[in-house]
Amino acid sequence: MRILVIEDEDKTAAYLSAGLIENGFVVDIASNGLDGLEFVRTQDYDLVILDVMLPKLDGWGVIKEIRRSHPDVRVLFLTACDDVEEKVKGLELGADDYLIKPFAFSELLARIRTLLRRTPAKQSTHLMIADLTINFIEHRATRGSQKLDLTPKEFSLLTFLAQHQGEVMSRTFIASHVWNINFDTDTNIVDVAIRRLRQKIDDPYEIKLIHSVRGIGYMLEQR
Amino acid sequence: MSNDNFPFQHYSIKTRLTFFYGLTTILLLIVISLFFYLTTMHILHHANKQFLSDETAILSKLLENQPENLLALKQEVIDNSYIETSSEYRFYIRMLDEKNRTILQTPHFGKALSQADCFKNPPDNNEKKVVHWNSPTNKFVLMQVKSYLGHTQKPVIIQVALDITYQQAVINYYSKILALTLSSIMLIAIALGYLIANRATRSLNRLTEATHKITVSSLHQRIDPKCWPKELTGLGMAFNEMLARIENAVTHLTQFSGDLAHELRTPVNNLMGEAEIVLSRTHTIAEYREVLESHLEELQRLSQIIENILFLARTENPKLDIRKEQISVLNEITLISEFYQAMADEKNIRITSEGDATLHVNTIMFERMLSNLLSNALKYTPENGSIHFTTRQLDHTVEITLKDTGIGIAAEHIPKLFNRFYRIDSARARSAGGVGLGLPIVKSIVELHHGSITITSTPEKGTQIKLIFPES
Repeated sequence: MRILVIEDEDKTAAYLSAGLIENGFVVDIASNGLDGLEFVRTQDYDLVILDVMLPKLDGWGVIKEIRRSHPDVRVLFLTACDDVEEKVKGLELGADDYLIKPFAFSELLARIRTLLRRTPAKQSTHLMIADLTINFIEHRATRGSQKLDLTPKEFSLLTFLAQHQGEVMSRTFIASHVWNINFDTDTNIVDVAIRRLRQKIDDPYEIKLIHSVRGIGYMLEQR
Repeated sequence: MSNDNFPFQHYSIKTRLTFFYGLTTILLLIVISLFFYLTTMHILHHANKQFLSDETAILSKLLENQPENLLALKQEVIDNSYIETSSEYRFYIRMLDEKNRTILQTPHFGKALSQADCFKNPPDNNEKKVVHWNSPTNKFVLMQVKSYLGHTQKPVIIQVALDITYQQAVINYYSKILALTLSSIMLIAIALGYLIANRATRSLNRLTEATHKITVSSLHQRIDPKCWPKELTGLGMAFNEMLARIENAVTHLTQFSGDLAHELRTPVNNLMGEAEIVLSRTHTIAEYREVLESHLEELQRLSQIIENILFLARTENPKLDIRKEQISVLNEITLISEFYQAMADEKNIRITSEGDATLHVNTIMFERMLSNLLSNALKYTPENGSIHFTTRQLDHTVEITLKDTGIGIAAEHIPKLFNRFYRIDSARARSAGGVGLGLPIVKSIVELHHGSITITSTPEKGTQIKLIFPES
């Protein structure tokens, strides 16, 4: 997967690129809008990460041009201004998603993965990780042969983590997707919910599935 | 607020007062003087006319009744007029027959008066007309009448002239004195006007001086309105109130920036210290990792403070235009309660809700408000407690009450709860994850929706928060 980062702030561009490369993406960096457009014209990208404030040609100009010439490239734009109007403007111009600075890298990663999953995730009826089985239709989770007694929200939380297995999910991303809480809040609520979920699905078992990644969030995988 | 139609607005109040005071005084003096002058003139004129009419009447009578008594006539014409009257009020008489020949005349009549136009022609009728006539040296008033000698129907023309030179001189003299007095009084009036205006505006000058002296560091100063004239007391009081408001705002702002700096200093200090220590010597990967993880946590705290401050700054902008949607209060309470359910289960706290209403609000903000309130309630409610939401639809308003069985808040803290960074017990709040911006944000959201919030609390019993929103 090839990603273009159009960002004039060197440090930001550098860490975005390092983080994305570590996660298996091929990354190019353009430091202004015109260079960015040139990259888009000459290379084939799956996704463009676009800063709004750019020299020479700002993010709005770039997004218009990209939409005109490459309508199927995904565009995620970054802004330091959490103005509703700005978000709306970006989305109207054809951005696929937006993130407000400062953002957690894990959040960006999660959104990129969502955007690049071009075809919606196959609606399978169940999912298996180690001896954990989640049956979406019956809303039932089991470990081995034991049925897990989960509240509906605990089930959603487990499902969300399982569907993103191997990916670190930030607390705000979890809060947003599991509880539909779309503002910055007391994120240790997520910690409490995870702790309670762990008590049910991990504590009694040998193989632990939910892992905390300190400072970032949580992930579910078989280690 | 400018009013271009008012021509004096560019001049000082002092100038205006002086000008109007002077003008009024001068106009009044001119009117009074003119009145007296004209009255005097009228009286004199009338007296002169009376004298001339009386004189002509006497002469007519003498001519008609005693035409032969020339002696009496002579005495009247010559002696009375010329000799006995004082030199200032001389009068002259001449009688002519129908052929304009002089029958009798006061000595010197011809010399002075024969040139007078009105005496050249006989009178038209018996109208007693007073005519002014000036000789090169003297001023006269003249009158002539037609009479008849006895009953002979022989007409006689009686001409009388009164010398008013002296009278006129006196009047001129008085006029001059009057003009002189008037002009000096005008000058005095202007000076007085200036003094009065000066006195009247002295309070304004004091206000100006006091205003000049006020700086950010001396906002506590007030102007004593007691020593002010009544008209300015209101202004003085309003001025003092404005000072109080500004002082309050500035104090808040100073306090706020101080608190903000303090709030940011602690995490930044931690970051710097940790980084310095770990970089000063070689450490294991695990130790570096530990520092980075700790940094990330600290930075998230910082980022959250910044986000909250930005949110507050934005909601305080009066031009902020928020998107509003129709929401069900119960739905929102349920959404937020679900999010906090795990936390509530941990402490075995029951969250319940009754009632519902529809509101027209910004959904995210409304959720954020409920979240901050519920988060506080959960933090300060001990295990096995309960939190209860009540939503009631009242006339034109919606009332949402949040009641907990928490530790409560002492009365002295309640008014300060909405101050930014205010924490009743900073150690406790920090361990609970708060930075003291939760309630200020709640208040700003409530006010942005034109609602109100009141907190009542009984320590050890619980807290009740009442929100009132105008109906959509």
